[in-house]
Amino acid sequence: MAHLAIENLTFAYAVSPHRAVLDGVTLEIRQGEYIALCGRSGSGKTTLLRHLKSVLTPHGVKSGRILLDGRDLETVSLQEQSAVIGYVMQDPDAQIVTDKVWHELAFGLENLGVAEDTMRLRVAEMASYFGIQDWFHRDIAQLSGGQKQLLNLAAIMALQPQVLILDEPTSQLDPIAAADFLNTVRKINRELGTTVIITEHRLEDIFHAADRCVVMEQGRIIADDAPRAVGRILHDRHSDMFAALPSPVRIFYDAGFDGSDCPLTVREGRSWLSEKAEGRTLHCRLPDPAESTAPAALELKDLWFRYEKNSPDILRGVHLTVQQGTLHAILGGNGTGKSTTMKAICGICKPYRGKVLLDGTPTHKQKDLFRGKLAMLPQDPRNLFVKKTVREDLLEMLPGDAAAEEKIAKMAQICCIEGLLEQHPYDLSGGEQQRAALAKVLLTEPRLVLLDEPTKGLDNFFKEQLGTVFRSLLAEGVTIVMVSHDVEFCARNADAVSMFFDGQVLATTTPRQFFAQNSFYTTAANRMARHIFPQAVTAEDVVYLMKENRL
Amino acid sequence: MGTDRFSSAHPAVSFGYFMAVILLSVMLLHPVYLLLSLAGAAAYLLALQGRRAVPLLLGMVPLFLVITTLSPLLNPLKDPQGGHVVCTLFGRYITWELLCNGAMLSAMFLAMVLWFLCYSHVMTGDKFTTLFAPLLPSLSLLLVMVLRLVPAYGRKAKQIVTARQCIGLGGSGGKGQALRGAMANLSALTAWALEGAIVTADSMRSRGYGAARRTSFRLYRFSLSDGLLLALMAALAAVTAAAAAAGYARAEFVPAVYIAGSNTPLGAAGLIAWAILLLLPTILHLWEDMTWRILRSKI
Repeated sequence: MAHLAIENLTFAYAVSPHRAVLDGVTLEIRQGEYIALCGRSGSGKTTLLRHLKSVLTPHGVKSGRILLDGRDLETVSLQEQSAVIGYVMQDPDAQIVTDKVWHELAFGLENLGVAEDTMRLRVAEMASYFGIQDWFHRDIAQLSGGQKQLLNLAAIMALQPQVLILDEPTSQLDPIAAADFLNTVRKINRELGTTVIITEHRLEDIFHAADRCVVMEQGRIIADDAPRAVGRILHDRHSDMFAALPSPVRIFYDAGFDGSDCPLTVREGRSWLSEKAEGRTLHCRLPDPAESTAPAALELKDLWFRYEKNSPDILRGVHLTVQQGTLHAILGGNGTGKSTTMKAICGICKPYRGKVLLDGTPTHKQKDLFRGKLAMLPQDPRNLFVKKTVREDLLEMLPGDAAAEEKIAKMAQICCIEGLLEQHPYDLSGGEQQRAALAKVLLTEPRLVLLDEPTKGLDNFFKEQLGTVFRSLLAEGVTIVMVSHDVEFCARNADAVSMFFDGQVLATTTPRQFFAQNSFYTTAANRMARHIFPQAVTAEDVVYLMKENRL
Repeated sequence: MGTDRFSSAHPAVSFGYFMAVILLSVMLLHPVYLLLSLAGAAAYLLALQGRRAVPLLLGMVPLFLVITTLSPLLNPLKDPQGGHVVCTLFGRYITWELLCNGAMLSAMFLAMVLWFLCYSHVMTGDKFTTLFAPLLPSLSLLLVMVLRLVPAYGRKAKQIVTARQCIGLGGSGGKGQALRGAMANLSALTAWALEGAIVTADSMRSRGYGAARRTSFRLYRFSLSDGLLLALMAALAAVTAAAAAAGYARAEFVPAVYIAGSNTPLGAAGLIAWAILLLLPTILHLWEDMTWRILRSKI
């Protein structure tokens, strides 16, 4: 008998009862399975997951049913569901209820009225299993995003659930914390036999590990099979989702191969490529992009900054030159000073030594810095939304401008938000919010745009769109500086890449040189192909070289 | 963070102690009793904070003098109170008796301040909520959530202001613009807070909030030694209170000086019990310190 069975589930929200968000979904999940649920934003993934827990099920028109161990889920009591089905959401912060780590771990147990001695033991057990004894007594506010999300997972595991549902749990985390989190989920699945259903943008980390991969499109399940088979189905259907698959899979199919030996991981990809290239002499030069000789739009000269007189330096002599009309990416780990550098450019943080030159003039001597010169898109785009519709929000930027409507229409076109102008900003998906906020920023007509992790939480499709928006801006001579953790996005879109470490810029080069010389901090495509094609950094590069060499 | 014997006792012990000591300090307006209270608070603050407390304690001396000299001015009566006029100030007679009275009030005020400093060092927010969780489960959870959300809103508000500054929507301009800016910030913060509240509510319900009668997890267990400590404190406080009730802790300066002596067995017992009660945390602290030293010297 299936552990969890979804039978012909159809659902539409009460506001638009004729648009089915879920359309005849049928799915069986066995005890202890690890299911990766994928699909574009808006394909109905979250709605489906929310149906697996009665308290979270949205209101609307519904038919079909869900069975938990053969019982209709609606007849299972709230108390039992709370314990048996665990649900981890996207936002690490808002999920947390209490102010202390220990209290958060105990929160669910308190709710279910567990006796104090049992509770003590379970909390201790979870703290040890998740390695959080060291921060057991801490304030929640002192934790990093990764720690918070791990705490959310531990707090749910303390209830000893049989099913663990995770809705894009790592979208707000940096890659290292995300990998750490997903490893923990794997460990739970392997060691405790907990059934796992997870949705994720970063398929690279979960695709190969899943027992089954379920793909949704417009509320329907279009593929439900082992990962290797799903790769093939998506390729054959020319699905949008194919672009979200891990690099080895994409390279395999894009280079014209077909069959059952498709590599899923970097390791498999390496040996597959080695096999193909064995005994062949290959030419592996890629056309170099023309060197930019444009003048510098932004220069940072020896910036030093610390928050208080006695605190450690955050910036320790930052030197950086950004050329006009280029997309300059700043990469580096957490807490290395990337975001602080952005704030220093905007004058929010005042460096105690060094200069920021914008078009050759120090920023502190420029009047109206944020009118037509410089603007920054914050990490959380919601920080910029203050009105009821996107249009009103954009109008805020153009007070008393007779041509406001025209400007907004043009900006909406550049940022691909034409259809969203009348919506409430909070009703948009992450990628749409990002572009709406970008439109607001761009209405100041800046020559230099600063972006703080613009691809955070976006799926591949939205990243692609954002890349298009960036290219049209660059074509108009706008300079873009972005701080990012997203190695793949930078490899595809950046003109120059700087590595930040320990409060300094260590190196600035083209993405190709940069990623080709790194062995760890680089793209999956490069890690897979570097022993054959050291210069290839994107999947497209690898495919191009394979075709050139007739592999 | 204090980690001595007294701070690691059950919150009920610490809370009971501070309540007793602060209440008694306010009620027992007697120079000797107050002086002991001041000394006890200062000693424990020194034990908790070490050398860092010294500047604070030294700063209390001028504060004491200022309050003492100014307090006679607050006296509503224009007539001289007490017989020994020291001087006149702003047309008022400053008498020796009024000054003594001021010194008493000022000492009481400072003793309170010092005891509350010790209190905030020992009774952290989570101890307080742990203590009251079994009595008022929902109120205590609400308090816990507020403790988390208030600073979180503060941080978000700062982020919003910065974000808007960076697209040229800072508060520069006239008053009208500043007001509009403030309204916009508030609106952004509200939208964000409501959105977060929905997620938090989902997270609470999905972990069974309201599904059963809540129990509460307590970090601290009430051990036998906690019980003994509490009993000892209660006994000491009771003896002090008995002596006070019998009038041994009474002192008056206006209109005439009267200071009760402690020359009967009950008076003496009251004073000694009060002294021990005040120095108890410090004694426990020093005792633990000594034990450590001895243990270490044996290695």
